[in-house]
Amino acid sequence: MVAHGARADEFTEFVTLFESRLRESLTAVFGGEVGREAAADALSYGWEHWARISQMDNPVGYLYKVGLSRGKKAFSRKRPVFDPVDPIRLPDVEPRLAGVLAGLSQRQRTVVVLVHCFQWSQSEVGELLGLSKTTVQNHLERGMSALRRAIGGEA
Amino acid sequence: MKTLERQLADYGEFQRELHSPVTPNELTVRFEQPDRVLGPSRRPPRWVYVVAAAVAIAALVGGVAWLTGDGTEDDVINQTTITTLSETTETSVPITEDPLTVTDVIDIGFPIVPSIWGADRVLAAGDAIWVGIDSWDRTEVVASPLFRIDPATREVTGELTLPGQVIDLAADSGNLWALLADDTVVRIRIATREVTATVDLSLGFDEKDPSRSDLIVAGGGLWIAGATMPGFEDSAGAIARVDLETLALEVLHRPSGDLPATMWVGEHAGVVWGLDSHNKVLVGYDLSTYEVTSRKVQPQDGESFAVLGEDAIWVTGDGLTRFDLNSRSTSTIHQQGGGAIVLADGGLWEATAGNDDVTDAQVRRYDQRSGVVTDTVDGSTGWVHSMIATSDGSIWLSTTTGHLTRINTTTREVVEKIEVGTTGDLLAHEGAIWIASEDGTLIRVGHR
Repeated sequence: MVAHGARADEFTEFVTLFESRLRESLTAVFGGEVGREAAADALSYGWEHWARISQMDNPVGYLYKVGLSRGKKAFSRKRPVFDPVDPIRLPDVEPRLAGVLAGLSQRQRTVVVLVHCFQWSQSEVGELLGLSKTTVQNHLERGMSALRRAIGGEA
Repeated sequence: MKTLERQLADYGEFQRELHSPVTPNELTVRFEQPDRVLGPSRRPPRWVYVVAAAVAIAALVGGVAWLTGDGTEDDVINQTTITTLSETTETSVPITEDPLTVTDVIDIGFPIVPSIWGADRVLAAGDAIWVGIDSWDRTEVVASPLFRIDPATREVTGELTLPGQVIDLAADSGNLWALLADDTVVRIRIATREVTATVDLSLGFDEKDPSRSDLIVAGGGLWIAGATMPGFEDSAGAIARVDLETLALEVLHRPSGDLPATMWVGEHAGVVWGLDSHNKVLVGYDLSTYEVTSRKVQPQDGESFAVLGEDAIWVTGDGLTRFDLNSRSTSTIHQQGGGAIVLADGGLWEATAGNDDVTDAQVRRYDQRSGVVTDTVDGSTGWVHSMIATSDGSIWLSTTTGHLTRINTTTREVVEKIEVGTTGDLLAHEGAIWIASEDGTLIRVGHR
């Protein structure tokens, strides 16, 4: 940060530690491009209100909600956009995967992407989303079933 | 082809390569150039700080005056009458030559968790609209904001952090009351927007999910009905009253079984009625003897909702049921699913229920005495999430397709309909309809 001092150092450390968490969680909701923008916007908000947010028990969860709100504005309630599968870079990945992910419900998609794309534990997902582990498990199972149905067979 | 799990992992790695991390330096640029961010900049111009400082000083002076006993008449806590959701909102939304339109979209920044056929976390009190924030599938108690919205400027003009998620809001003449997930109720002075009292209920709500709880102001007291969701082994339920003046807590009923009232219905002949909305049991509490009466009104468990009509309580759930308050007998009106209900034009109005993949709702009017359908109104789009009545003789429907529909209860036809793009709890206030949306916005719909 250009700003200096203990507050700036603390926020910089926060960004270093948790930026990927925030970006991945919002990517799971909105897709890569809007998710990254929403994360950047949420972190900007976090810096602006750092004195208050730094005192929270779960500042990442709070900024996730900020990012959700900002992303939804930009999103205009359209389907999320996931980057198309590059057949050269990902020859063994079903080409329809990105589109099918976008078609899942928000909760199912968020859980599936965080657990299987970004390797979060189910507990970590539950903590971020405010869900019990059982609920996370349910969303995950339903999301994976829907994916399998959509892309055909036991992929 | 790899397993689906492996494909997802590879795709996640691909995403990481495509989208670089957000760096602190990038944030610096963003902060200095707020136009680049997704949403509007929240940083107000410099003059706003000057005005805010002046207002703060004025409020401080006013607060000191109140503490020293120089408060205005507004400071007096009045005893109020029972208020129920079944009452018509004393707000008129005149029809003009201008079409109904979305006049404002106010960004709250948090999803507003919808109620089931009511409006628990959105309330008009004093000269403002208040929005409390809860969380979906609550797993822990966290500090949560309460927002104040000025309906004149249509801006968020205050934010108060409360120690738990807001489950329900109620108001008396000078105060806002919030039932919180940390098993407390707080009193917020509307004039100064400060928390002036906290009452520890210790009712044993499961802090993770006290989602079926209700709060009303009635007869000089604040009444709390609460229960945890069914299925929790340690499910607790209680009926409690907090005296508005002394703040003394009185626990009237604490059932050990599954008979808690979770929703207030209203008062009739000295008996306050609540509904165990999952088990579909009406529970009556005699205000003088505290004698408890209970009656299961629909056989199947599930979500239900009730309104107090003329000598009867109407319960919607798996169908529509009329409970006669004089004879204490139950009549099944129909069993074809339950939808939102509201009283208007001397009748009971019901939006027919259905599934997401079926056609649009129909609205029926029932005679309150006989339970006979007197009229049906077609023309709404989608299924009804929330329905309210306004004093101009209209009922308003917020539907799952994102439409807001207005029905004239005299001519019994749809007179206005607008696509808002979202659904949510409805509130009528100062000549307009406000929709508290799950997507974190408060939307004002009216005529310009």
